[in-house]
Amino acid sequence: METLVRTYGRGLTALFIGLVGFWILLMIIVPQIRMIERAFTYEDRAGETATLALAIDRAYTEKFQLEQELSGLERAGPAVGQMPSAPSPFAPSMTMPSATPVAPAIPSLPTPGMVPSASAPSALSDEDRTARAEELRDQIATLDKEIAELEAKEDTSSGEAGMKERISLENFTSMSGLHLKIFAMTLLYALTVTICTFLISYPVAYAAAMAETRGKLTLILIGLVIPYASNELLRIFSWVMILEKNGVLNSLLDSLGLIDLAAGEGFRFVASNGAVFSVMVYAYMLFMVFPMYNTIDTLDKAQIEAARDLGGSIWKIHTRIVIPHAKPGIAVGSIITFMLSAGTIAAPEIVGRGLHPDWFSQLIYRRFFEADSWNQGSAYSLALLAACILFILINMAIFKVSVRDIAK
Amino acid sequence: MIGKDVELSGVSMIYPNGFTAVQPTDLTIRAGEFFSILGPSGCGKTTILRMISGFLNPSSGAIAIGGEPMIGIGPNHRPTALIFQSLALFPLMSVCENVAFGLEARGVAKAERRRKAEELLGLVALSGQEDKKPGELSGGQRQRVAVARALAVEPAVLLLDEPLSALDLKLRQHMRAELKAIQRKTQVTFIYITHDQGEALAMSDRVAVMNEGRIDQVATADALYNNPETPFAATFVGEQNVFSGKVVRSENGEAQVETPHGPMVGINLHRLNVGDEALVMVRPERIGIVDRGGAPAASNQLQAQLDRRDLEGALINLYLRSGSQGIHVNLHNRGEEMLALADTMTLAFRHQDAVVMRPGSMARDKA
Amino acid sequence: MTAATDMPGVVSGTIRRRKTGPDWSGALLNGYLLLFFVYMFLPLIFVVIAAFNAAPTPSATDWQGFTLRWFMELPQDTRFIQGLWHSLIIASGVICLSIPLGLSGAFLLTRLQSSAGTILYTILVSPILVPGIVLGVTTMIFWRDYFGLQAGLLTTVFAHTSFIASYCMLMFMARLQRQDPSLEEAGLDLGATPLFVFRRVTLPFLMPTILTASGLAFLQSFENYNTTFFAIGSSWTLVTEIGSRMRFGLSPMINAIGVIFIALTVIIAVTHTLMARKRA
Repeated sequence: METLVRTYGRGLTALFIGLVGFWILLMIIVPQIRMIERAFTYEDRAGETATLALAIDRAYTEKFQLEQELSGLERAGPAVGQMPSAPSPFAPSMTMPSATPVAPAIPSLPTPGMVPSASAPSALSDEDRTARAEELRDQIATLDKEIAELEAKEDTSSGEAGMKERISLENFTSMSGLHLKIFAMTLLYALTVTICTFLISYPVAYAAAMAETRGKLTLILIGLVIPYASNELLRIFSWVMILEKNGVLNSLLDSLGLIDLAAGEGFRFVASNGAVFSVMVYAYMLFMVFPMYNTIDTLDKAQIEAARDLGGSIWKIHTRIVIPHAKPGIAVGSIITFMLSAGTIAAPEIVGRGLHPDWFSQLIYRRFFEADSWNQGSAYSLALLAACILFILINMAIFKVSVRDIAK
Repeated sequence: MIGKDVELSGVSMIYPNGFTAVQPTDLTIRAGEFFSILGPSGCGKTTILRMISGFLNPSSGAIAIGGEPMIGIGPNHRPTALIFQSLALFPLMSVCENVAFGLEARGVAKAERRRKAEELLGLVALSGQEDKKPGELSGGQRQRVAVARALAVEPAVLLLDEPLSALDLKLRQHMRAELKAIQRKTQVTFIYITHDQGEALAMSDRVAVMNEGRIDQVATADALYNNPETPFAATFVGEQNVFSGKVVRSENGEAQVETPHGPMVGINLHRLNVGDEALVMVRPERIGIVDRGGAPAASNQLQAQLDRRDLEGALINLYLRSGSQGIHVNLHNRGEEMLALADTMTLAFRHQDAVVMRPGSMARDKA
Repeated sequence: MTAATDMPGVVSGTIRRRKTGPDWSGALLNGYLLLFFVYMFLPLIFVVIAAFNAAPTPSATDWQGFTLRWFMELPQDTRFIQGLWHSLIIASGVICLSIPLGLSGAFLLTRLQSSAGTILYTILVSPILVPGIVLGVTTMIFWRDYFGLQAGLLTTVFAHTSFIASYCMLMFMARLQRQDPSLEEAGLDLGATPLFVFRRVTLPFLMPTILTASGLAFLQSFENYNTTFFAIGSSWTLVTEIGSRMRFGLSPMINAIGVIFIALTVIIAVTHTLMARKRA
């Protein structure tokens, strides 16, 4: 502190401390504390409020299913498709729909949060279909009215008076089995993504670090930087284009004669956990490559040559020399990849298109913006944060690195 | 420019972690003298320098420059200028801007700054290099820019923190002469920190030998070499053969010490009494070989076997062994016959060339 | 000792024979590298193809003729333009906050060596290690609960800054660690005030890093989705708008934007890499 004042003077030092204080208090510590505080504050939506919330949820779910069927009917041609295997128990995500209508293919749906690529069973005749559609529209209209009434009632009753707050663990303990399972699955997937990216990218990082000529290294680095610096959404979307029903992969299968796309055959690869998983592996791959490359690059290449001279096998050279040296890089890569995959909302939102079983990040979003339960949302965020911190700590223990090694 | 004196009274430095870098020290450096502080790395010499320049506040004691107390005055308000070990030239500024920095900070007009900088660069023989960047200069030239930059603020005391350590040997010897000449010309007090005894002995009016946070001895270069006062000063400056033993007789300012190699008599510097542990020190060039021309008529004698003989042109270094003790003897090459290895010979040295001291810490490694 | 010194000659004889093996594995590695790059680039190429395809939904396979229509339509799309405007406002705000914050943190940390320094360091880099959505959530809650500020552009600036400032700080720290600490001391010793030294010595030294950090802060803020998604509330940025349209996959306009993004990325990446190479 004394050196600080001597070097920069009282005025500048005070400015630095003030700015860092502002940063720590208003952007890091207090917001976290507020989230923790909310996470441990349980809003008791006693009696009527709770019932109402439940009824509204149920109505939304019902409406969602009806809409699904309707949209299927409206698009129905000779196509044979599968219904989404397990529609989300919640209404589709309510991200702002576009103001500009850009899609001629979409009929004006009440909730445009869904891509109606799933079609209804084709067994129905055209008249049947029209009749059924009419019926569905009626039902939806009734439900809309019902929801509006319920929500109006909820607004009046969920005033400050209607809710009791208390400090408790209930925001965590009241997590339903389904949510708990999604939480566990999300972490498991994130872990698998981390391991997969490591396995795939290790040889790449090694090859880049061992590049014999500057020209080759430059080429490799440019090749890595371009996809790395391309927008995350773009990387995700590029895979949606591949996995879509009318996407590249199905076209490939079609041209191989394995399926007939024109006849409506074709796999719906998107909107599944597997799709979200493989897209994440692709999207976050380079966050693993760069930290590893940076550490392997500092390895004295003479060590590898010496090991080779002494007759070490390739396996031995990597497990005994390169990987131990690359530890900090592996730790950094793992932490970032895990953190990105566990916390991403972009990948499941875009790949999932709201159809596939939820990702934990989406649950958090819905707690906040649809269930309007900020405290529970905070609890869910805190759980995610805790999982990431735990992962970091485990990593630090396994790879024996300090925080200073991680963030460089 | 005129130098001022520097006075340290009871100055000590204890770091927050409890490490004592400098023991309470009194030291007076006279105005206009070239003063060196010589000691191994970690002995506290840089700490003393940083306390004089104002980058460190002493834990106790007072510092005065030209009679004015300096405690509480920041480095930018002291009449000192420091030349850093790394030189710390501003890499993004031209040579001229570097030299004129102190003047710019004082609000001197641009033309005046330029004139002054050119004058100083002339003094250090760098005319015509004004618009280069420090990175484009050679090591010796950078060195001179640093000197010019420090002199630009007309300091009364110039502090130099091993500024020559980055140069190669040839250049270093050349820069020694140049620094000495600049000091003579400017009459500024130079305080020079170094671990290199050659530098300290060649340039300084007086030298302070420092060890473990304490100043062992302050003396002229000659006095330091010929009459060291502590085992550390004796062994750090120049070389010594050291024999340990017990005092068996003490009279007329001399002491006789019984060593494993026989009795030896030397000047009883620390006034030891009979029975005290003692060290006998004798420099390699003061030992002669009996039965060989030029051997002093000396009463201290011991037998030793020749292990190795290195010819260094004008000098011959002999490495001998007596029991487990190694002995270094330095002879002038007079073109006499070779000494055969493994020969046993009798070595001798005079009483007045040996010093008897109380045991204390000695220099282990000299860089 | 003499016997041992003779040995390496024998050993190196066997090495040379051994080295034919690794060459084979080098070819394998190159092949793998090629495959990896195909994996990385092919999907992006599909995005580009679809941007020029006249087909009304993004498709790389169902070729219906070359068109620039999707690019032409972009400027007419008010939501995109508005989003771009929002993104630029947010990114500028983030730069204005992140650079001073990052600098301050770096100055404090490079001068604090004690355990207090380690704690401060951990706190200041923690936002980098926290999932983006958590930062969005905490920022949204905090500003609404304590200041009554609804989620919007301003909260997004705060949310972005909380972690982008950490990146900037790390860059400044790396730069400051390469600075000779005696430079500033030399300035003071020559009689300059700390402010003068800061302006004349420290800032010029940091200038190149301030510029690159600003660029990085801009890109990070501009491209951010996960944090923005929560912090932006009912407003939108270019990227969240792209995100919500991608979910529907309705128009190749998003591919057109993608092509623009990729083109900019390629230009920046190539110039940056070549410049770094020239410097080295």
